[in-house]
Amino acid sequence: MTAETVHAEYHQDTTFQPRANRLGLWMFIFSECFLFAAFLSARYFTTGTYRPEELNQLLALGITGILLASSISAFMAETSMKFNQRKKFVIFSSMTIVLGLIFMGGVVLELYEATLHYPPSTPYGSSYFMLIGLHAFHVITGLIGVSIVTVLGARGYFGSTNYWGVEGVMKYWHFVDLAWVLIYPTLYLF
Amino acid sequence: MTTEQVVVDREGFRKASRAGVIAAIWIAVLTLIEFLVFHLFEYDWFLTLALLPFVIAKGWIILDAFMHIRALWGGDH
Repeated sequence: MTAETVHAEYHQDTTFQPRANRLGLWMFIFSECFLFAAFLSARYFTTGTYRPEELNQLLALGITGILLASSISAFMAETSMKFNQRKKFVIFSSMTIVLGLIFMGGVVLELYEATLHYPPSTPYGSSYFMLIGLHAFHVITGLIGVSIVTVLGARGYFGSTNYWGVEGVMKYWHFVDLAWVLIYPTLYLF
Repeated sequence: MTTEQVVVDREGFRKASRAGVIAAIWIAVLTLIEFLVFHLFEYDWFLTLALLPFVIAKGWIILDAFMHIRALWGGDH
């Protein structure tokens, strides 16, 4: 077998690269889980299940709903690209960006309230700011990713047979939603 | 692409979308119940235990329906 043959066979195996990409992304997400787990456990270690009375429960529930809505729009965007419906992809991924920005607005509001009632110098406040800050950082990076694939998708960079970029970014966005599913009860309900 | 293929794609899109919407509705319903349970048992010691199933259920729905985790071991996604 010559070097050229090996090279050609490698490129003929079209299933290899998406699988490797997907596995790599899952390994990254798995490593992120450890990061969030450390921060979540720090909250219980420092303050147990203590919650300040001043927590804005309705705001937290509202932004939880918005993030959930952004997750379904992200799913619809990915599905649209999978079925080669580019216009729908642009609409749904733009919706994801808008909902993500609204979520961030809510986070800014809750952080402002937190500085008044439970600042970072308090035990609960330190856990609160760490978790909300870590999650907000992931939302911002997710928004950047979604914005990039939206622009690229609108320009025809992706199609039904080549949409790994969209799939990867949307999976990351769903992970951000998954992290909030744990953070929300940890800070507001438990 | 033929007209027939476009029809098949639209049907596939419709089915996949419906699955996602159903998953989202489940998560929304579980979140609301979670919130109600919190208000019912706010000062009870077993609140964490009562809310944990909701967290696990919602987490699994996101992993399965949105992130297609079962595709990792060859599931139908």
